[in-house]
Amino acid sequence: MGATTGEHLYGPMKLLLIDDENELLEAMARFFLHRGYSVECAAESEEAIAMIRHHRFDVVIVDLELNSIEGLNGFAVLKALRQSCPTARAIVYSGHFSEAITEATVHHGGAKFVAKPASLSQLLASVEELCPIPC
Amino acid sequence: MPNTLLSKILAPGAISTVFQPIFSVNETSSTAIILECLSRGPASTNAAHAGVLFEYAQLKAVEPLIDRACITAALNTLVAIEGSRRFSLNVFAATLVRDSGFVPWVAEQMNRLQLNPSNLIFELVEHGEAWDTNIFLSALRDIRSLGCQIALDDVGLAHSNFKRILECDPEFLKLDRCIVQDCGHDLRRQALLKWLAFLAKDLGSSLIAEGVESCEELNVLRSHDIGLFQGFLFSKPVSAAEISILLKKIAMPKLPLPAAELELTCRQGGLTIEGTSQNVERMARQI
Repeated sequence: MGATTGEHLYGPMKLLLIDDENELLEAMARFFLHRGYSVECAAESEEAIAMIRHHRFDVVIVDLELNSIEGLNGFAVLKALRQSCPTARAIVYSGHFSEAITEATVHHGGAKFVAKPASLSQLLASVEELCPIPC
Repeated sequence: MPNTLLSKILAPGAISTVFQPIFSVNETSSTAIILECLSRGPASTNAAHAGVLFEYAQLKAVEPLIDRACITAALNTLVAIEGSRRFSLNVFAATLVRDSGFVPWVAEQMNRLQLNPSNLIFELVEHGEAWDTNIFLSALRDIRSLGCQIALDDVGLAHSNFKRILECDPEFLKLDRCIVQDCGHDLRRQALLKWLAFLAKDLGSSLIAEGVESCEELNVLRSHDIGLFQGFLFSKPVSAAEISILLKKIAMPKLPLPAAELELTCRQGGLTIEGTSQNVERMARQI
């Protein structure tokens, strides 16, 4: 895999990675940074929503089971994404795969579902599927 | 406290303050009369972006905590700036409602740092839902009894609406940049400005135009009798050290504004003047 995978016509593709497991978040960030993506991270749904409302992203990868006292979770992030950044593509991953979750994901504008645990290569393949590299 | 973004924001010394002056401009002079204190979250976090910081505060419903932290940082930074000046602090309207000890706390901080409350303007920001109006009005009375003034921020946007104007009876109305931006070319914006200028005059409030970035905008705003301005045309937000230098530079020459060829830009924290006329070049040398 080349180091410039994350490039598109307008420079590096911008990813927002959202997961409340810090170690996983850091590993994902390193992985995508190394492949040429511009990467921002958020460990809480509120932080992610604030980022979405003030920055533009090409792809958002969100863990549906984010911890939050107020009950906001990955779905709230998807909703904010649809409102504030409708052109961004979303990848949701969850350890609790079910048809209901898949339906809810589609309803909230989720573009792709990845079952947890997912390898970094799987996530990369999903990103590339959603945003193919221009020829 | 777990290692959340909130804990990082609230860590001692994590919030920094920058300053963006508000200028009074007339035919012969421009003077920085108010320093707006602007907060920035910890540099290594997403909250370094002010928009993210305050959006996060609202989503977490921790506006009072964030406001107290920002004001603590601002006041501690402000005392290092030479001279007694009017300054403004941004406060969520929600803080005035949820934090009953907020106004006495501000008074205590001002007293501790020997800052004059009559120099303080509270800029009320709010994009939230309705709240208890009685508590809100009571807090506004407490603010005024300290000798402070009130500015309504982001007028023209979201909840900075007529109801809020009636409730707050603000000394200042800060026009949001969505009205100011491109007003030099846009007749609809000019119509709004004309009407808002009449409204402000009748209400006894002073208009402050935010986000002024060009002489064309400045000329149009001045033609509607707006006299207070803030924006990159005059100065970007700068640090405490930079603002001291900037204020000294501005104090020396009286800039003749507006001049068609004059472009004021603030770069590297200092005021520079670019233009073609000898007059402008002479002023640039003076500065």
